[in-house]
Amino acid sequence: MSTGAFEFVIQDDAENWYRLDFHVYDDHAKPWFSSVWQRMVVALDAAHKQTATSLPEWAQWKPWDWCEKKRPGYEPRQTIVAWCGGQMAGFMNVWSGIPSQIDTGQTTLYIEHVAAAPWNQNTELWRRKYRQTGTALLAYAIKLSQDQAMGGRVSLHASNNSALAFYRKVAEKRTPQLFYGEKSGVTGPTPHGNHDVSKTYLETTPAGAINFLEDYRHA
Amino acid sequence: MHEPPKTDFQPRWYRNATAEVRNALADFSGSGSKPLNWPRIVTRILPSSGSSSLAARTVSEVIDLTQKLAHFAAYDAVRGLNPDFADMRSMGADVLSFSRLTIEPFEEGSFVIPARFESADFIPVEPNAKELEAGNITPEAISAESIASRFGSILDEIATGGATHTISTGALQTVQQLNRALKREVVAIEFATFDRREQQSSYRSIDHEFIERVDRVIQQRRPSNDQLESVEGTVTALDIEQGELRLSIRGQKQRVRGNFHTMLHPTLLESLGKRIRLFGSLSYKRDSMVSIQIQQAEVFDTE
Repeated sequence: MSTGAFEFVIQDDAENWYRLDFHVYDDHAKPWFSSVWQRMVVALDAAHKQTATSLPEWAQWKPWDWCEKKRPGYEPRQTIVAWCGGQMAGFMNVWSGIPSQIDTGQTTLYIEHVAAAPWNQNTELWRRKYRQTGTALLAYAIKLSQDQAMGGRVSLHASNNSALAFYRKVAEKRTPQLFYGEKSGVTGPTPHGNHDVSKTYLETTPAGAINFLEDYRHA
Repeated sequence: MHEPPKTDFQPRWYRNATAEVRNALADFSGSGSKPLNWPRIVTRILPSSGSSSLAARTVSEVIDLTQKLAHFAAYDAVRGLNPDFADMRSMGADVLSFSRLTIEPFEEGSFVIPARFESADFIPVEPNAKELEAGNITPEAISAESIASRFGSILDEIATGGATHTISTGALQTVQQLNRALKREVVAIEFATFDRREQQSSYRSIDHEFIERVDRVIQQRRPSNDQLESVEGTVTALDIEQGELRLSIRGQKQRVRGNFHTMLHPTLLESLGKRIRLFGSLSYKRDSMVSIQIQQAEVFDTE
């Protein structure tokens, strides 16, 4: 195995690559959520109302609300923010030490939310700045899991068909396989976890996860 | 601002991927489900004649009355329905705290005022040791969602002419007081409530017609159907405990004594020093008005 450092990278439209830094949510990240993200969503919402078209599902999220710690039941959640230079690129809400649905006695890092920032998505109003953000975030989640002694195990519910298609595409033709077989009927570990039962549950295999993480090692 | 850190590194999967796979993985909006949120009441004030501004007083008054109505809704949710209830001071600090609204940042370019209930569940009964031992008491926690729900149902009952007999007098009078903002510079005040799943649970628009409905409900609660007389003046003394006030009226040196029932507390609580119109039975002595048994009151806008 190579000993180079991991580089979690994203790409611009000119095919240049940029390194991401990851930090736990703090006051520096707050205005990116409450001002920039929220205002872009408000603008997009207004534009869709004017054209009588439906708002994308991600734009109905309110991550600026979710990052507040005082909501009962959500204290164990950790918000990780991905930065590209001084600009936020995306974020994840993760829960450590969640029991594996496959390997009894093992724990996983559960991804409650993972999202690219609005400016890294194509919309009716703007073109994305960076791409390949989703794969970089997933790879970093595996690294977190490894760092926190969960062996690279990551679990999640795919919230919709588009998210499920993304994860299937990431896992396509990979050896060792990235995910165990898809499961349904799995309750999420969050206070709203019973609403996730109908969604497809995915859990990485330790070998497949580490192999995917190694894709981001700059040898 | 830091420059984005450029690198010549490409992830291994990307180097090995076809153009089709690269494109398929380029876009990723996100995955996850909406977490539970705080129950909310969202107020929208619609200025008259398309104005883009409002008096600070109007905005603060609407926020204040929204909070008051939330307190009365909480009282119903916690203590049960009591149409006679009007005195907010006797509500109890626990209920007031349970129903405290926190305002979120306003949306730009609008008078949309999102407010949420951050309170933990309310436990109405503290079981005593004997009852706990007997195992027959399970205090049921009341979620703040029930405040938003009752808030919505109060407005729904008024709008549809439903079970208005269940609405407390205090709540009715609080809604009635929104009329001040409507008379001043607002065409309507909209209220929407949201549950913890961010689903809208009710929506009502308060306009002059709505206030007329409230007036009729309050009118029906008058102890007497006698034709009421009215007098206008300024409240120069107020004793809420005793249910008494003194009214100075034009053209008369002697102040008029007024007596009122607790159901008028919400209206009269802030009437001291203000112009007011009182309705009720008047008593006279040698052509001078000496007292009024107050059945109804309307505080004038002093602006």
